Amino acid sequence: MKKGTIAYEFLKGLWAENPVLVMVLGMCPTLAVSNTVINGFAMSLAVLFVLSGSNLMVSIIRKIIPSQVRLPVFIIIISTFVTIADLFIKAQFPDISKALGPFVPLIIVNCIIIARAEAFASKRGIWPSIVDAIGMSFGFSWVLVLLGIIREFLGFGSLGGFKLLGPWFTPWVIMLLPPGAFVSLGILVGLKNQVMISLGKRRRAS
Amino acid sequence: MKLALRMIAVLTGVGLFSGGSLALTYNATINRIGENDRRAKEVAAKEVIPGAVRVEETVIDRSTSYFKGYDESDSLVGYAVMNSEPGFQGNIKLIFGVTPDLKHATGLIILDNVETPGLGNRIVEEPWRAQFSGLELPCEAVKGTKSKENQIVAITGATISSKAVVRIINNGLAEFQEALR
Repeated sequence: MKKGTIAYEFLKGLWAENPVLVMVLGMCPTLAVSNTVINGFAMSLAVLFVLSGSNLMVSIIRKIIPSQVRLPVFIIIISTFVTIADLFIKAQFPDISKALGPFVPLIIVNCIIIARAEAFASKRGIWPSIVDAIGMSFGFSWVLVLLGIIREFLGFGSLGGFKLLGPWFTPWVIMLLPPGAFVSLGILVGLKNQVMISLGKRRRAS
Repeated sequence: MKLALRMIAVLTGVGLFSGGSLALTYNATINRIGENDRRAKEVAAKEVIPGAVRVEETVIDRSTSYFKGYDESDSLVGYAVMNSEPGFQGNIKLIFGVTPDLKHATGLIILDNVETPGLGNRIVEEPWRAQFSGLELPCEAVKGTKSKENQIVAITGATISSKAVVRIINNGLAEFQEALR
């Protein structure tokens, strides 16, 4: 696919430049709130909102920001969107807000968002920036939800809160704890690389 | 000089815009958030005081408060005490019901905890919490089987969390009795 097209800007976040599997950014929420599917999903929505908002704003005012103060400006914009998202979740979905705990406010320091502002939105137009934000958020989301599926299934024997496995199943408590997150993520990154290697080989052979 | 002015102007503008949108969002959501917190507390208080349809909160200090529970005919049917203290990994916030004579517990709900998932975290599970209904106060946690009316069985592998819950209940009860006097 050609670089620079809108479709490319969207799809790169999903696979080729996936923020979690390739750039290994935003590890704090990835490891912390991927213990259940619902948590992973809620976190993804919050990131989608914050990233789209901040990329849009940064792209709009990119020409008037003096480069010396660009980082403080990015941080102010990001923290504004994060606080709005946090207040909204607290008001509308108190249970989810409780489950996510401090990780919604912590999106402020999520590297994915400042990285996209610095590396993309501050140099590109409004449309590509929004598409980039959505692509990156989806890339973040599917990995987070997949991790949530793996960890919830093995750690609770359930998916999305529904018990799937009977009482014969002994939950792997370790999957809910940090080591489970590291191990699952490591395996995912390894699998992704393996797929890339096999694809590369086939392309060279043909 | 010109650059300095531009930096100040941009930062001020972004700051004003951000402050303004935050003030709007805060005003739009703060009542709802307070309402959510209040409702969550009241629902929990009603659940641990059997027969209560209306509760009244009295704050003792920053981490402790108690509720008086009334039934339809407005007579006192029990109390609920909310207390928060350190558990194994962080604060455990819980609420428990107390009979009007302050001798027995009538139920327990864990409101907040960051105990180990799958181990200490099991203090939120119903079968374990059910031990606190009708329990003699002050209580203690034992391993294995209970031999007295004021004992509960600690969760295997989570003795610290179980004992923390018992300690938080006993301390909350003491503070509550102090406040009633």
